[in-house]
Amino acid sequence: MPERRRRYGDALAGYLFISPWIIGFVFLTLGPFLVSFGLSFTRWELAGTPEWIGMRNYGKMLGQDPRFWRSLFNTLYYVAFHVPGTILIALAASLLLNRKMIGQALYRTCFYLPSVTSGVATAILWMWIFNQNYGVLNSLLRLVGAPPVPWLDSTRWAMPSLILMSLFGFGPTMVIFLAGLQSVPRQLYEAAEVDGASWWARLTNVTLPMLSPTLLFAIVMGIIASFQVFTQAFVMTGGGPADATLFYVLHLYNNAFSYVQMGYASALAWTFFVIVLAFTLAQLRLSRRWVYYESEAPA
Amino acid sequence: MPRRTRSRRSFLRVVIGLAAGSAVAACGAPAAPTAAPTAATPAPAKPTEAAKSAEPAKPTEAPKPAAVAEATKPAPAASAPGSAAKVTVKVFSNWTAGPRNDFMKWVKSTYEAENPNTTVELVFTAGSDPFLQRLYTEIAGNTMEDLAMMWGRDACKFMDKGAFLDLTPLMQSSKFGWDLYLKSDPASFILGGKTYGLPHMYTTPCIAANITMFEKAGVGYPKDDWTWNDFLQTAQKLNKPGEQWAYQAPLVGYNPTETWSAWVWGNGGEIISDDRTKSRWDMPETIEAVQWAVDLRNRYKLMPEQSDLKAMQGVGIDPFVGGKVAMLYSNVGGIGNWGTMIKDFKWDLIPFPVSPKGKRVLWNSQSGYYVANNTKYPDESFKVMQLIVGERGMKKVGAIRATMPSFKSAAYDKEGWLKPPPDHINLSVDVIDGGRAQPWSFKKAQEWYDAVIKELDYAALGEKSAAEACKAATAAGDRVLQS
Repeated sequence: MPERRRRYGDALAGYLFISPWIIGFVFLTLGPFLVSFGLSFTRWELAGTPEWIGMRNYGKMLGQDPRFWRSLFNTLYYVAFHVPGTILIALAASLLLNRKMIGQALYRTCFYLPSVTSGVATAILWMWIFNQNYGVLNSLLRLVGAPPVPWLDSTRWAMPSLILMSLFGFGPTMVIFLAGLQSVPRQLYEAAEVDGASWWARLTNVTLPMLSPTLLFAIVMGIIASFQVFTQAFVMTGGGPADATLFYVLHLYNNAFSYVQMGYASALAWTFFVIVLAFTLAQLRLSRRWVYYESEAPA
Repeated sequence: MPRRTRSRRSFLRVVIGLAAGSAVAACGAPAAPTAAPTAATPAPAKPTEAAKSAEPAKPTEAPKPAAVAEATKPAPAASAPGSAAKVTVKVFSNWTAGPRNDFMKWVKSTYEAENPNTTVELVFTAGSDPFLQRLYTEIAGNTMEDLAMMWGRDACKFMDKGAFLDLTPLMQSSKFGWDLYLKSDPASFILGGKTYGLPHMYTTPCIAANITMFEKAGVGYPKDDWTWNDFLQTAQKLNKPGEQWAYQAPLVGYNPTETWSAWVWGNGGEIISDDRTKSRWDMPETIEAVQWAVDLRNRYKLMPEQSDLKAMQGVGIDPFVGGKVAMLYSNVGGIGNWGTMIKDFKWDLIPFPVSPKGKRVLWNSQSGYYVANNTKYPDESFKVMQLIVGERGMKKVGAIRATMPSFKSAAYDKEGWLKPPPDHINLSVDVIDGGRAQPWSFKKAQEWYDAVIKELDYAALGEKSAAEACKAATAAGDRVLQS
């Protein structure tokens, strides 16, 4: 009996220690989560009582809101280029910075710095870089005899501009890959060198397979984060020109805080959750084909 | 061992007790939310009702029975000090800096001096978006300050939700009337025959001109009846690519009324039906006017790129104030700033050109003050509001160039708002009689704007013709209006 009471006391103590987090989670995350699900079946304009309308918000989304499809397309367009681009650049940078060289720490810091700059400050900086008349990019293009590009003033180039800008934030992914590279056993490289493997063979047969769990993590987290792209469009383009950079989260924000359609915005939020969850589960499913876990290797 | 277990548990008990006590002390008793009178709320008035009740140039059709009155005398002091309860009226605005902030402080000091039992607590949030975010949150949580400023396009979303106090009885008893104000869109303040707000800021568009550039180019001050073609020829003389632009106006991704209506209405076109159920961008006169406006950018190259403007404004550079733009299409709200910031050249207002059809029809709009429906002090809040939006406050606002006042006598005050500089400040009021209210005081306004802007951007960028873009804008706008 005293043993049970002691275990009960230990459990109670544990729960009490984590109670601040639980209270915060319940009231600030789980609670709003569930309330927004309920609101997604209502019409509510902030004041007054929400009016139950069933599935009409979801029906409007699928059949009467062309900007829903446009924002979804724009977001997928962004994800399709941002994630692979960031992964490739971060991988290349990490492979280069994994070598012993003078100034290695300095180089790593410099490559990481853009990621710690404020999003708004970065956006304003890039607005100058993309400036048609005075921007760095068009000046470089003029130097090589190419015509200037109307970066943010064109429905064709606005999205590529934001994707190009986003690629400079590869720092955190690079750090994750650097950590992953440290765990690749040296003996594998030595064995490969003894067998006469080229650098490409070592990369594809040793580095990438051993790094595959880290790659999976970077891809999954990268997809989730890039789906939530918002700041660049909000600051630089407002979703324009002509909705060319209207991302899903920006469309959701407009419905919630400009049009004050909280019910519809909640429906958009839940649809977004399902889409991102579907992508994540698909990635995890596909990962069985290409991710190698050392712990699963035959003895 | 048992001793350690006891001390850990007793430590936990002490911590929990302290935390619980702190929480109770911090939160206090929550105010019981006042139920919005949704059942008794009048059905939303159709826009035609509001539009009809305020035809241009007929201010006497404002809702009765408010009689004409002068709200100029100071509010009577409260009864003998010490005998009345102390009252605090909270006023929420985003006038956080410069002359506007000075005005708010004047309101506080003046009202408190005349009403010793009342404290006016000024609450500020800077910036338009953060201000609105906070206001919306407070409206949702039933914690709106006693008095808040708001644009009509935002207020109309909440008027039928019981967020604001019906001011009609207070206006009746204080004989405070609509006849005192410049006309605009009454739907910003009136719903179902009831008044929920009173006007404060008045806005009309204007063209600010760098007169020094005009003189250097040998171009004289435009005549009042100068035409669109005269405007184009003048702009072409003033335009120097790489050095200065002739004309700056919002074109891409901006409020479609402010961007296009001056050209469209002048040409006899329309942008939306009076009852706000049908977009009218596909009218031939509208298409013609839109084509004219975009040609200024795409064909004649008289304007800076949108990205240039955003980049400059992002780091606080104003091309007109910096002497890079000859003519700036903006609104009279900028007059205060231009007067303060422009030191290096002469500037003035110039008339908007007259269309080929011989007309000039410019938009106007108002913001106002609204009293929270759950205010504990409706009478006191209304009195503070009367100081802000009454003649005294409005004359003060005009004199310090905080904004163009909505109160008639203040807007036409030759020693206040109409006192030069600039030399042609009279243009700000001359356009009112022939002007029209911005169609923005209806619930779907912002959604309609965004749908329309998206299509018109193609014309502004030169990627589609005005005809194609306007037809697409009509279809997109109608989808919103009829959903």
